[in-house]
Amino acid sequence: MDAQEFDDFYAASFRKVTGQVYAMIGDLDEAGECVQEAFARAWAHRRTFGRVEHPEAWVRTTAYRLAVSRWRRRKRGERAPDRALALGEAIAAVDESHVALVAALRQLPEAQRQALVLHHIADLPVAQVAAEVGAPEGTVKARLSRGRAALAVLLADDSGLAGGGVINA
Amino acid sequence: MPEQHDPLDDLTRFGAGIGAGSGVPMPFSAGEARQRGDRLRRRRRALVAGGSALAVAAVAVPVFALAGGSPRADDDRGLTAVDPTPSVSASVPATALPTAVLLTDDDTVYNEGSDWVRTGAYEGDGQEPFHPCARATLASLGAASVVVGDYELRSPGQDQPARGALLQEAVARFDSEDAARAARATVVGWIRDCGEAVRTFGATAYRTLQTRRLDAGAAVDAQIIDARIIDAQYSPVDTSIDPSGDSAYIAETGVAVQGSDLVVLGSQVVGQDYNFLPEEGGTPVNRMLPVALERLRDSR
Repeated sequence: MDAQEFDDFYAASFRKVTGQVYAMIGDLDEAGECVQEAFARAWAHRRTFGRVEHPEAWVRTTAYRLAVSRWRRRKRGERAPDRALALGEAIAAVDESHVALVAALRQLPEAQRQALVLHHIADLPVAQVAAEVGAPEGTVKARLSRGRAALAVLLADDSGLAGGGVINA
Repeated sequence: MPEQHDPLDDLTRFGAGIGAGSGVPMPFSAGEARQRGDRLRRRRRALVAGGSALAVAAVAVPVFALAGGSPRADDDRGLTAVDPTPSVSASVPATALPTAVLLTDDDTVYNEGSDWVRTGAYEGDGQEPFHPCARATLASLGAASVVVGDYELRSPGQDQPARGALLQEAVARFDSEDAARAARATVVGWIRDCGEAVRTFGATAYRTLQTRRLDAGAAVDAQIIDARIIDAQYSPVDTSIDPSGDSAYIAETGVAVQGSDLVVLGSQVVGQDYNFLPEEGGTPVNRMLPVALERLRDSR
């Protein structure tokens, strides 16, 4: 992958992947930083990355795992979060309805939230979701079903939106 | 009772909007990502350059082993089926793995009170098995280059390492990813059918408990890495180690293929339980295997 191909891929995918990771972790700033770091790692390993079948999925998975890893490090208090890519400016707040949905998603178990985001927001077929999260298709279908049911209750009950963040607790 | 809401509408709207990138700011540029990537790449190359010097120094170790004085010979766990031919050659091929890919004392973890300490790093399979369940060398499975690290479990205030505990890391480079996966299948088969091998410990009851994926939160390049961890127990423990007979050997082995490289990271401790919480990173092998893979990746 050369620089022009990388830049084109970045331009086409950065916002989309950031939106998807935001839905998974509930923090737009963190999502942006982790997606940027994932792109940097992709460029650092561009020879290997050029052979990846689904580069956007690679960036999304890497960014999500970076976010989880950073959250765990902060939670353990071992060291401060990696701010190698400090934002020059804060990312603007997003639409209120999106905030409500993300707040509800944050209250779901991680596996259900991830399945919902990948299937309904990233628009991946169940088989691809299963491959990305490393679970059987039947398990993914069950997570989707339970996640939708739980999300319906959460969205119907505004009082349920307070607190309970999983990633950024 | 609150009115039911169809979440698919919200998810669909989100997907059509912010989930597809609409409304998401783009505070960074592709150029910044490439600059950061180039810095990571330079750091990686610096690590490899340092590792090459270590690799030259390590060549002498297997020669010592050939003379019958393997640094690991004190631990008499010899498996008669192991191919005694070390895989090391006089010259180091261009694609040879440096011992710098092995976990260092800074990388290893056990718990808050104890830690694994490296006692040796070798090129080639050497004369000792790379894993308690190994029936042959990795070279005999087709590996072009092998490095092995040995570690012992140390606790503060203890003069001697924990008896019955061991950690071994073996990294093998094959000619192809298929060859690495075939070797992995063989190694996994050995671990699952290890009843005979553990008799060298005096254990008669061997069972594998589960095979689990490396925790998703720990592995970064999940699409490139294929990693599993196999849990096993065997007993009885030698009475000189466990006079009460209440303990067992508790083992976990991480087996991962990354490109054409195979990593086998096996630990064994003596105890009655093995409780490591997922929210704290999981078991020691679950925490160390991603670091081992990262080291290996950075050496490329």
